[in-house]
Amino acid sequence: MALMASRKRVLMVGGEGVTLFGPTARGIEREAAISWEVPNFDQQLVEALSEQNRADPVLILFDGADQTYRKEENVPNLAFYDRARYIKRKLEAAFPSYPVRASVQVKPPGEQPFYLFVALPETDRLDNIAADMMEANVPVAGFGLLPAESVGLVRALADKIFVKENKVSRWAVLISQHETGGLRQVVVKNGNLALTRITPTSEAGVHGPGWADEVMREFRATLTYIARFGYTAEEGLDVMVVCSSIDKQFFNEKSLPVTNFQCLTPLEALTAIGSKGVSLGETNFGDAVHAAWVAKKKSLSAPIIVPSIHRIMVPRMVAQLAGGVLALTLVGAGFFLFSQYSDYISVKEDLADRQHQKELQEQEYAQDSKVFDAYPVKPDLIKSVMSVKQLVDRSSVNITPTLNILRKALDNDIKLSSLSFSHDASDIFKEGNSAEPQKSTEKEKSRGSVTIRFKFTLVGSLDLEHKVQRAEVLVKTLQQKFPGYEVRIVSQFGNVSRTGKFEGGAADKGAGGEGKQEDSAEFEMKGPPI
Amino acid sequence: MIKLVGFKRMVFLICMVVLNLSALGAYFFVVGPMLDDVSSQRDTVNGQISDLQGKIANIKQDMTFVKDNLPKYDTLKTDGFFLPQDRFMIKHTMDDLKAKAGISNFHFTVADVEEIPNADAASINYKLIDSKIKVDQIESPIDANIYVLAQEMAHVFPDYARIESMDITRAAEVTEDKLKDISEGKQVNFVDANLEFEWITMVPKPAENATTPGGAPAGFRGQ
Repeated sequence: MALMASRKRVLMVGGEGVTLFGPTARGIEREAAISWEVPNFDQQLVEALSEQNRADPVLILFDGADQTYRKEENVPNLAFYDRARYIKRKLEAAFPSYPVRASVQVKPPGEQPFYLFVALPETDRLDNIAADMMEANVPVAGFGLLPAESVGLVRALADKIFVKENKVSRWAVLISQHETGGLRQVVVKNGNLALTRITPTSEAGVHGPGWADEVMREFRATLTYIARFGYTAEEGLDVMVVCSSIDKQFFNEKSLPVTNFQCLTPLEALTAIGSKGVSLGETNFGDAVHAAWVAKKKSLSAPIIVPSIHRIMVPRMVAQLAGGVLALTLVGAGFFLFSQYSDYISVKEDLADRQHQKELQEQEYAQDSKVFDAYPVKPDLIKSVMSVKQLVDRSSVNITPTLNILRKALDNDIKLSSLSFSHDASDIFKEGNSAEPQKSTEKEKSRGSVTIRFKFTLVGSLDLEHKVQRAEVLVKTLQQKFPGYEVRIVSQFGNVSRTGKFEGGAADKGAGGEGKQEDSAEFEMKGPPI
Repeated sequence: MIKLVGFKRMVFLICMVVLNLSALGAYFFVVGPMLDDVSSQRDTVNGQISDLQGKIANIKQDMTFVKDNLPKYDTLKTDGFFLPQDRFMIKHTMDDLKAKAGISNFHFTVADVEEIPNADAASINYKLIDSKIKVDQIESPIDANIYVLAQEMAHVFPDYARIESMDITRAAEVTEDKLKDISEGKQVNFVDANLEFEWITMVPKPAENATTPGGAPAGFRGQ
């Protein structure tokens, strides 16, 4: 597949000369037609190629008589790579003496795919054309053979022109007289090339009744050929002849054993394939139709490598491609460079703003530092001092509330003989020496422990049992008044206990027996500071 | 090659290559380094701004803290939280206390200054010191004066004193003989009492090789 630009010029090469067609906004235009016979052929071709549209690549469409076709059907099922090598070997074997060869795979609907081998002997004329193109400095789009490339044209014209009421004809023929020399017939079966013929222009000329008779005669000869290929009238045959509107009258379609017959002017044919012609006039030549069709194709059906043409086509195509890529790269690089420079400007402006912001912050920091340095003490010192102060405060206890509660709890019948009060804050100071912060809330709230110890006697004369009962009542009272405190009797009246050793005498009341007993009791209370 | 490709096309290609290389060179040798340079400078300045913002926030926080707490610190200082616990000061304070509590006489002993290990104080090169004060031989006819003594003790010492223990024992019963002695002007004590206090203050740590500064680390006794 040749890489082809969207706008192409087509140089048709035939036995009598060349014609050059170029694309215009209004349609395809015949730029030049040069006969081989003119003495300054090369100069004229170079001038024609250089004159206009020289930036558009030129596609060479060969329409000479010395092209050979062969159908290769027996291709075994092979892997892609092996098949390519197999086809190449077969092609070389088929045309050993032809330096220019090509193959195209054809897949007819409902039939086995086959390969169409094409070949042509390298001619001096093609080398001359290559040299002229090199001199004209025009890009080359590729090299193709007219019959192989115009297969689609035949089918497209037949489908467009003949309204199919019953069934589609399997066979179609396009007959056109070419300015490059000869009458070209392209026979298509099921959309694939079945046969092609070119016959030199006879003495009858290229128009008029004689030319029409010549066309009919050649077509009848073609009918005999395709009959050998299996053509029968039941399969249907569409025949199209490109001719001027004047020459249409010379054709008697009823004399032909075909399904459909139609004469088309070049302009009608161009219109049928969606193209237009510029300044073609009344002509029988169908070159423009083939050129327009091939120019519209995105790629060649059977691209041929002609060494002399390929030698200039590839470097120019590569140069054109490289130029395009480099131009795109330059645009991209320019855009990238511009965006980077924009970024640079943006970042630079941002940097200036940031530096200004930094200066402002440095000034603010300097001012704050000045104020801060003027403080007589630093935060660390205050924080630590406050922390120590809190610790020390926690270790203190006000004895007044505690003693007031105790005083209210002791009734008038109780007479204190001793009272001791102590506060142990050693745990708090240990905590203050710990490097780790205290996590426990209870621990943080700890204010040490208070121990109150008092000894008392009871006013009035009570027997031991009642004194003990009174002491026991006092324990309960103190437990209520001092919640959270542990209240215990250190020594009971008479040093007795309800379950311990007991000694006494049985006598009338007041006769003694208890008078020697200890007459005081001692209590101890432990708990948190109030 | 020029003939194959074509002179104009070759010139175009060369121009394209040169322009592309120029664009590439402009990026790699001019714009790219410039952009990297300013980006790097901006990152550095951003880092510096971030540092400064942190410093400013910290210093403002510290200033606010100092503003809020400086009066408290000054109060502590004025109240004597940083006094070195001079023994003669204790003597004068005890004299005042005696008058306040309405006690005719008592005996007191001040132990050597001791250091209470404390991490916060150590972190600012200070130390927490403690003088234990023991009060005994209190001449008071009734226990109410002793309670007053115990209560006032906590308030008269700058800035902080804490009661450690208090022991009050009835020494004698109220009898006619005792009341007669009182009427004759004799000293009669119905209670015996012992009080133990701690005076705690915070002082700067002396330099490593410095001698003991003013104040009285040694014990003291008074009456």
